[in-house]
Amino acid sequence: MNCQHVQTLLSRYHDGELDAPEQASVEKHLQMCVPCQSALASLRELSDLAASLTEPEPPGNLWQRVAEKLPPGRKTRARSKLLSRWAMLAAAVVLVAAGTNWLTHKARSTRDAIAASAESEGPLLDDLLAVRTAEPVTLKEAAQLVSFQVLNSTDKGCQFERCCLCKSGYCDIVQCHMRCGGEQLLLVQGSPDHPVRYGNRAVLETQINGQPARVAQCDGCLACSWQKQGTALTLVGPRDLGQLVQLMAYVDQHLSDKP
Amino acid sequence: MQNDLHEVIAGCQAGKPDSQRHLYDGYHRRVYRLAVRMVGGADAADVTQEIFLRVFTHIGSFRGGSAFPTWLYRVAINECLRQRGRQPRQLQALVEEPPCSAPSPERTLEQADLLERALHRLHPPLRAVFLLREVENLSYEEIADVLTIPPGTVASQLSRARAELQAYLRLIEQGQQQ
Repeated sequence: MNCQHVQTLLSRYHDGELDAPEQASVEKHLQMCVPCQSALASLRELSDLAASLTEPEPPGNLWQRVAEKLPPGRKTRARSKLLSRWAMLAAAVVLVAAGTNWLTHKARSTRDAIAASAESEGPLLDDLLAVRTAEPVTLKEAAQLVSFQVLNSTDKGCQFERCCLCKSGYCDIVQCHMRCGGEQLLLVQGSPDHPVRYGNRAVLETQINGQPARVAQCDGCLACSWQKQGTALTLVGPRDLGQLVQLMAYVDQHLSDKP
Repeated sequence: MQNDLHEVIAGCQAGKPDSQRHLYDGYHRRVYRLAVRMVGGADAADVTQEIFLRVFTHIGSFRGGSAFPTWLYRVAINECLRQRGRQPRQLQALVEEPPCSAPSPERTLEQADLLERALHRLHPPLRAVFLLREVENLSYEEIADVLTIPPGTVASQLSRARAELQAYLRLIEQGQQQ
């Protein structure tokens, strides 16, 4: 290794983030190279200086300032800006330039959308999100226990974390927790006879990837419900519409075939 | 996740004031010190207040997939960067007036002051990477999770931040000696 190469690695070496062969090569070079030793010493000096920075003292009344603006004793959810956000969303046509994926929406009034979603009998999304006790199962077990299709696998696009089976009072529900592109996602799968309800959330009825879908805001992210191959699907967690469209296509592609 | 933190978070998700205070007590110092160095001492309290309001508003979306501090840092950094984008006119004032004037025990006031001034000259995203590593002691993977960038990008940005800080420190020292 020459000095130019070593000096590009020194920052990572200083943090212990090199793999073993690279670390050994850098250490071998450092034994013989005074300029690189000096560069490493400078990095250590900078770290020592950063460690000696004074810890600033927060103002004594900071908690009072936070507490005064919190709603008292209510479940925290951003509701106040929902209607204005949906008004802007409904006024725009979003084109997802990914080949054949197009998102168009026909906006209905939020009052009609809320009324429509309340008519069907199914589990409330908030209740499903609050579930703390459920039977952990594998994807294969879930597919065998329920009458509808479930996610059969995940590939490098999404990291599958865990799956559980719970009773909603209407039907069995399979919940899959996944991580895609750094985002934490929840996929709820259930019977199409009992689609997930959004309660008093404002819901946008639209078409995504050529199929009807209901989209709502959910605690800083999006939630979307649609049906595919005899399964009611609800995806919670996409950060924006672009990611939602991609993830819906991903889920549709990975639903299992029932035996 | 520790059971007590899990319970506190669950309490916050249910809107319980005691849990919110408990969470604030456990994390407000690290949030405030990050805010001081990201937006300056004059605005740090306001930004910290806004960060915790966002935390308690959106804690329902925290599903436990990553460590809670990682999620908290993400909210904090995003808010700091958002605030900095609205207040570029204060940059010059920050260069002239370091946020912390108390002397550190092992280094002279001048050296700690120099680093504070150099930090505030650093581009905010690079400053975030440097602070998360050197002050908050996060790993490259944790920083990548906070900033939603690849670990390789963390490495390159950290290397660049260090190089620029060293250059700023030399410039400031030379300026003082003239």
